[in-house]
Amino acid sequence: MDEHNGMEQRLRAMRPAKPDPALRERIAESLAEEGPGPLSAWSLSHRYLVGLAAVAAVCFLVWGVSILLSKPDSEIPMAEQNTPDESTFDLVFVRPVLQDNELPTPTLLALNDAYRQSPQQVDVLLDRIGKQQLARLSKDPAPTAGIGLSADFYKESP
Amino acid sequence: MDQTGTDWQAWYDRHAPALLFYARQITGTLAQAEDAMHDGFVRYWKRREQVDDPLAYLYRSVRSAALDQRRGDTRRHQRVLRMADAERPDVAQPWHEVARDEAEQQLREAVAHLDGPQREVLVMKIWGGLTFDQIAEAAELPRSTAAARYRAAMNVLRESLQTKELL
Repeated sequence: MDEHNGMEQRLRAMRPAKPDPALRERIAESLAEEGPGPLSAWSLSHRYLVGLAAVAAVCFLVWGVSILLSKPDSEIPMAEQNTPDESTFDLVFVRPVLQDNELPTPTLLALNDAYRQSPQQVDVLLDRIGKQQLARLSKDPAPTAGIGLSADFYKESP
Repeated sequence: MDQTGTDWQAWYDRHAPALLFYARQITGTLAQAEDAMHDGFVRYWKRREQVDDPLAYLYRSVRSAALDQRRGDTRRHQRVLRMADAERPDVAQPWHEVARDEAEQQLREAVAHLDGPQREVLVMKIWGGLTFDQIAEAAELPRSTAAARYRAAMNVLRESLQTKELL
């Protein structure tokens, strides 16, 4: 090992010759002429980020164009078509959707309560609702009920 | 010393002697070694920001340029280049100064007669100051091969001097 280190020291003591100064000038000229371009001076991570941003921008542009091209023939913009106005919202989400001649259905809670009392109570509840609606329909006759059943369906069997 | 490579002159002053010596091991002539060093250094400088290890990349660039210089070279062209080198005795010598004693002269000759791949690794390690990892990257070798070549070179040099009883 000492021999190894001794040999290394002897070798390092032998210094290689310095290059001709003309070589330094040649390199200086070449570097001045070519000069690193703005992209080549960037690190790989910078290039990656810039590339990623460019791809994202292109994707966004393509998406926007595709949205514009897929606009339906109607003059109403798609966003307006899909968004209910305030009154529609009130009708749909706050009040039950019932037309004047449409039958209300018993709520699940009412049916559940009736069933807990006894299965017969469910029949009683449904009968009562049917009679109420029959009475309403007789005041304001309609050809069919909202659920597609005729008013005769609710008439009591003889 | 700017390790990030923003000052090319500092890099050049520090590495040029060893780098030119290294290029000469591949090309065989000073004129081609200078061309290789020019091309390799310019290539290195343009891409220095993109590499993990600038020093290893510098040697790799010069090595690649030196191999390009040597590729397809004819004997006649080599002879012409050697004659051109001989016309510049002030810079054609590979060493900075004359040998101080006979032992050093013998050592220089032993280095010159080393096997090419062994000498390449020795030059990068001793005068370039590269680690085995850097040598492996620069010469496109496995690290173990670089280390083995270095050990072999040292053994050859030691045996060479022992034979002449100069060690």
